Amino acid sequence: MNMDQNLYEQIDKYLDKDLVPKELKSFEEKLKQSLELREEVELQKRIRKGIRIKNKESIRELVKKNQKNPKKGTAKIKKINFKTLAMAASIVLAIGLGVFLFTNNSQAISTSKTIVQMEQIDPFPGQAYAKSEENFQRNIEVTMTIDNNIKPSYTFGEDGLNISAREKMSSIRIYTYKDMDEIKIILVHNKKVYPITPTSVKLELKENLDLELSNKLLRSIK
Amino acid sequence: MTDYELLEGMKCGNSEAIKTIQLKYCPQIRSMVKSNSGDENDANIIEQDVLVHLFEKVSTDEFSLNENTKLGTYLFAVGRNIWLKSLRSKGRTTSLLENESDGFTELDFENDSEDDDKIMEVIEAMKKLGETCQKILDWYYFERVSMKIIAERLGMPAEATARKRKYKCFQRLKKLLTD
Repeated sequence: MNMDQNLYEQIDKYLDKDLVPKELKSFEEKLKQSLELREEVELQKRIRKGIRIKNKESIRELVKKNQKNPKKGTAKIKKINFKTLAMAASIVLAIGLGVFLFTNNSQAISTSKTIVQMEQIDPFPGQAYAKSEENFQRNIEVTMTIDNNIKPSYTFGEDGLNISAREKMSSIRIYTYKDMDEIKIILVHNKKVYPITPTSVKLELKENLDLELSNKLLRSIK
Repeated sequence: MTDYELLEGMKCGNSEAIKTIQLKYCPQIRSMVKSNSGDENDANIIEQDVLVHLFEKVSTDEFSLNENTKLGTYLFAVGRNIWLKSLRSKGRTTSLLENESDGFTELDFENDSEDDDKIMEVIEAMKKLGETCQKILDWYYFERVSMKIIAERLGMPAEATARKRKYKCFQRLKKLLTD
C-alpha cells in the first residue's frame, strides 16, 4: 500500500492508542472498509514487534556471553577500541565528510586528509605511553557541539575517571558535527581525528567507556 | 555502584552495567531455579529472561525503583514468576509457594515465542538500514521516545523534520521487507 506520511502517522497513533475518540472512530471505520489498510496495520504491528525483539535479543546475547565467561572480572575502565574507530573511519570516508565544528582548543583540523592518515597510525604505539609519565594527563574532556549549539564541555579526570596504566593518553576530545543529514561524533586524540559513525555515543562506545562517562555523554547529547 | 547507576547504565545498553547486575543479583535466581526442579540450562534461560525483562522495563521508562524496593528483590520476584510460569506450562509441579506474596504478583511477560520467519525478516531488514534510521526506529518503537526528544537527539531544530525522517526510514524498511 502506498502510504503517505499522514496515514503512516495515523497508524502509529492508532497503535500507540493516541487517537482521540473521534479520530479513533473514524479510523476504525476506515479499517472496516479497507482491506489494504488492515494489511498495512498488520505489517506495522509486525515491524514494531520485530524492532522490540531485535533490541531484546541484543541484551540476551550479552547475558549469554557473560554466562559463558563468568570469571572475567568487570574492569572499571575499558579501553577505547581504536580498531573499531579505524573501521568507522573508513566508512565515514566513503560517505563523505561535512564540516567540523570545533570548540575550545582551536584545533583546526582539516577533514578527509586527517582521516586517511588516521587509518595508518597506531594511536597507542605499544606501551610507550604507559612508560612516559609526561604524556599522561588524567583528563578526558568531552565537548559536545550539536547543530552549532555548543553544549558545555565535560572534563572527566582527577577524581572522576581513572585511566588504567595501559591506556594512558594525553587527552581525548569528543566533538559532534553535522553533515548533510547525520550527526557524527568525532574523537580527537593527540590532534588526530577519530570519527565514530553511529549517531549516538550509546551504540559504539558502550563497550568501551566506563559507565559514568557513557552516561554523562548520553545525557549531554539528549 | 548503586542500583540507580546500574539501571541508568543498563538503559544505555552498557555491557558492564548488565554484567554487574547479572553477577550481583542473578546467583540467587539461579539457585532458586535449580533447587526447584530446574537444571543449569533452565537457570541460564531464566537469567536471560529476567535481564531482558528488566532491560525492556528500564528502556521504556516503565520501571523505576521506589525507596522501598530493592532491585535484587524485584529481580528475584521476576525470576520466580517466570520460572513458575514455565513450570506450569510444562505441567510440572513445584514446591515454590505460588501464593507467597512478593508485591509483584502480576507481572506481564510478552510472549516472544512467535519469532517466526516473518519477525526475523524484520530484524534482518532493520540491520540493513542506515545507522540513523535504526536509531530513530529503535527510539520510537522500542524506547518509546517522543518525536520531540528524537528531534533533539538528532540535533534537528524542528520536530517536523524528525517526523519526516522517521517516515522515510519506515518506508525504507518497508521496501526492504517487500522487495
